[in-house]
Amino acid sequence: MKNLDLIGKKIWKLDGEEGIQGQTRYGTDLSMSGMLYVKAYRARIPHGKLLRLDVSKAAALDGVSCVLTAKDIPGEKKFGFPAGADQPVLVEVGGTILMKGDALALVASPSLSVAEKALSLIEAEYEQYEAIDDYERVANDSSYFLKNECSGEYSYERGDLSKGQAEADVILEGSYEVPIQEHAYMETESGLSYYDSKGILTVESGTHDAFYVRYEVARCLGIDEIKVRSIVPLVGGTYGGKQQCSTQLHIALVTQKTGLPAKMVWSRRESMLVSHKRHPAKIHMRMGATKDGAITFLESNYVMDGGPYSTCSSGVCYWMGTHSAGPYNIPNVSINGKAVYTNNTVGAAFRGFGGPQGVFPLERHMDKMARELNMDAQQLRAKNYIREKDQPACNGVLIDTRVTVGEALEKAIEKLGPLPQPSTPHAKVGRGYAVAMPLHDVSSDPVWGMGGTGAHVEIFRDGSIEVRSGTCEFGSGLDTVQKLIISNEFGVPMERIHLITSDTYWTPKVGRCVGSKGAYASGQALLMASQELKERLATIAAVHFGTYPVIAPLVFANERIYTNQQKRDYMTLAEAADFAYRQGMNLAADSWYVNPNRLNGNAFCAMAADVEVDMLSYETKVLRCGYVHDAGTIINPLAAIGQAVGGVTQSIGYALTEKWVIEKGESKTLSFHDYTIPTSVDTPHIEVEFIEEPSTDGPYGAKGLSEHPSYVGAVAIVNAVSNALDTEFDVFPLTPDKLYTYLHG
Amino acid sequence: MQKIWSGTINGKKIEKSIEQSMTLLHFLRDELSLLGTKVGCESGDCGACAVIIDKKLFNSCITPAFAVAGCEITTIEGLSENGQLHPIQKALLDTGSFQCGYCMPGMCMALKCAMDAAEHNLTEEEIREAISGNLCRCGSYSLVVEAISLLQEVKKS
Ligand code: FES
Ligand code: FES
Repeated sequence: MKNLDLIGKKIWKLDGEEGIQGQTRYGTDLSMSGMLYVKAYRARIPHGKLLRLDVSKAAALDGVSCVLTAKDIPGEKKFGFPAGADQPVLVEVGGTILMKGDALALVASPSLSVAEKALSLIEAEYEQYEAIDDYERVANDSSYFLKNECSGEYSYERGDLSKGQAEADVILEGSYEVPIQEHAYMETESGLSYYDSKGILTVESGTHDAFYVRYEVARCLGIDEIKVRSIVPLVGGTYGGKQQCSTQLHIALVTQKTGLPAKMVWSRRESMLVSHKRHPAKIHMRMGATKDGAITFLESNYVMDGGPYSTCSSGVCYWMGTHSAGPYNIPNVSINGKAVYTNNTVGAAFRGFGGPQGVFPLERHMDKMARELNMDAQQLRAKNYIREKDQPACNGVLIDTRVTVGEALEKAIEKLGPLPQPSTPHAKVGRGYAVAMPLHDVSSDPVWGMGGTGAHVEIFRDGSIEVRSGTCEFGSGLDTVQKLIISNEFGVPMERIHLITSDTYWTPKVGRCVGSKGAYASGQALLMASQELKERLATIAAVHFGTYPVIAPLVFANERIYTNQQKRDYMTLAEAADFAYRQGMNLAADSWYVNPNRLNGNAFCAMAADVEVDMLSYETKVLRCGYVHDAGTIINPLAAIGQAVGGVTQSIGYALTEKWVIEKGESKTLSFHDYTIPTSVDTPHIEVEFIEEPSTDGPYGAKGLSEHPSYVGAVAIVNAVSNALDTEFDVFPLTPDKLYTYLHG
Repeated sequence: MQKIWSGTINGKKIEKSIEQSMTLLHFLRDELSLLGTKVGCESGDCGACAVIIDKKLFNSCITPAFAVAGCEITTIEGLSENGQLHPIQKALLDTGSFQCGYCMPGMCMALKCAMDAAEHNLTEEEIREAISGNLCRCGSYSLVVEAISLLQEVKKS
């Protein structure tokens, strides 16, 4: 499938040369003359009623252009995706504050320092309510709730639990807790809005979906979507965190009010306070197995904290459920979970989307079960792996590919070599690993408007090609992949292809770029458009070579169209395009790829890690990682390795250092000083290998790629620490203080 | 209060009247439009804003502009020469060492500073140490180490 010139070769990142010279313009870098700086005044309490809001002093301050409150919003006063618009753009007087940091008012000024000063002049009075912060209690105590409903629910049953229990020789129970994780992208939320020369309100901002922003802005401003343009510049990291509106509605309101360009950049503190997080979750699991290691049943009950707004909690909760039984064939299964509302931080999408929360308890439990059975943990897994054509523990999914999970784990462990000796007498070393089988890795589920993806490809008269695609680039290399595909299809060098992305003015619609779906869905759309153009070119070639109406298969290479594999007779692509031009033929094609209405159980991954724990400082160091992933055909190896290494690195932080502290709805860790993400010295050498078992429906056989390291990374490390210290750790991050208390009470 | 700042930035003499309290970061970005120096935290924790001042690495967000008046300052814009990528930049690009790229200007400055100061090739540990103040949430550290190790090997041979 991969007899291709460029696919699979190492290619520079397209935007790389600019980026490495500091020339890339991110949202934080945008500006315009006459621009206003916008700042938000935010609630100081996590739960309560807004009794009074006095902005008069701020409005009277010299240099303040406008102060806006909820009553200045002409359109819809709430926003939110996808479950429903339940988050206030600005909380109105008399309205309820549900989260510390909810926006109450906006100030705008040509001077940033004046805008900041004006904020300090705003006065708010609250009636404070008790913060509903114990999510487990919300799930179990009907008298304790924030909203009398759940933000997500999952339920899956098969077989007969009591039968599974009767067959089991060993039954093992365990309770687990998965923490909050902050995205901590290096570029905070930012955006610029302005009226263009035609009076269209334009918003440039970092997000996963330009079209979603257009929709929300138009609704909030009470104008038609045709009056709004949304552009996405290169995003300085998102990992799922920039899916909802952040700055966009606020700056658009200011531009609408004043007619002037408006810019907003969140401070780091603001970003950490307000932005969405990975959902924390508590899980209770029971598993039974026979003496020789056949799992007879699995029961999992979990609850996740979605915070006060629904966002995509329903999806995260669902996908956590689909990960709960992993790549194992278990006859009797019961999985039930819910996401609940609290006054804590909002839980939303973060690389892995519920997967890490589902994989952690299971892969911890597998290790513990192996110990219980006196069996090797790898062997126990191997004994229960799912096979091709098996039905995994999730509705609507079928394993339709060779199952490579065992191979992935073997290779991942091999990469580590022998377990090293401790480097000091007071250190202990250990090895751990984990496997996963995500069932949604390409978001092929056509929910939430994500089902369709458009592309536009046009061959110009000189043989250069313009491509328009609605996808966004946030560092995963998607722009490069898209050009590679077109280059490969037409035999045209990358320099002669121009790619326009994520601008609602020019690019066809796409569903949001999430769930590792970018290359998969846009790749398919580009291939469809290319195919259509190639058919038209074949007609032209048949006329040119005098074979018409017989149309021969063609070879596209070296900017030429050859009539045969030997590449003897040809016309250039430019000649064909010129012919089309003169004949009035259209060499532009639009395509619309609709995701198959099914989930995909075909992208397996495994990680193995060696760790060393210093028993004096209780610090854990990851010594080496091996990560192996069946991602189907790899289109751009450089970008693919980057995604894998990046995902593993984020998992190291999640497992060991990233401790989010929140008490009574008040987050305490609002800086990089307090919330410590991994640095270069915390990160070991990470070895990556891809198994390229082609998928049946991805472009050139590609599968999803970016999210997978997050599924297995943290739990592999926690397993390693558990093995090193001969203690079962069922919570993380394993910061020194946590290790100490765990060991010594 | 406004005051005249003078010093050398990327080899060019600069004189400009600015607010006395301005940080070097805002001076570079807002007054001189040198937007390659990035903003990540404005509290000295992330290294996105790192620049070289008289051969030493500084986080420009916590450096008052006037504290370094008269000094020689290099930002990412001063790294490539005559439109040619600096070998560090080329190495990072060839190895695919970055993703969103937001941390990369600071990372490049840190690498240059350490490599210029060292008389020998940096060991893996020293490379890691050199960039330990530069956060990269895309998690590219191992690839950066690989890129610089390769670059040094090529230089040696
Ligand atoms: S912006 Fe200066 S250290 Fe983060
Ligand atoms: S490449 Fe994105 S933060 Fe470093």
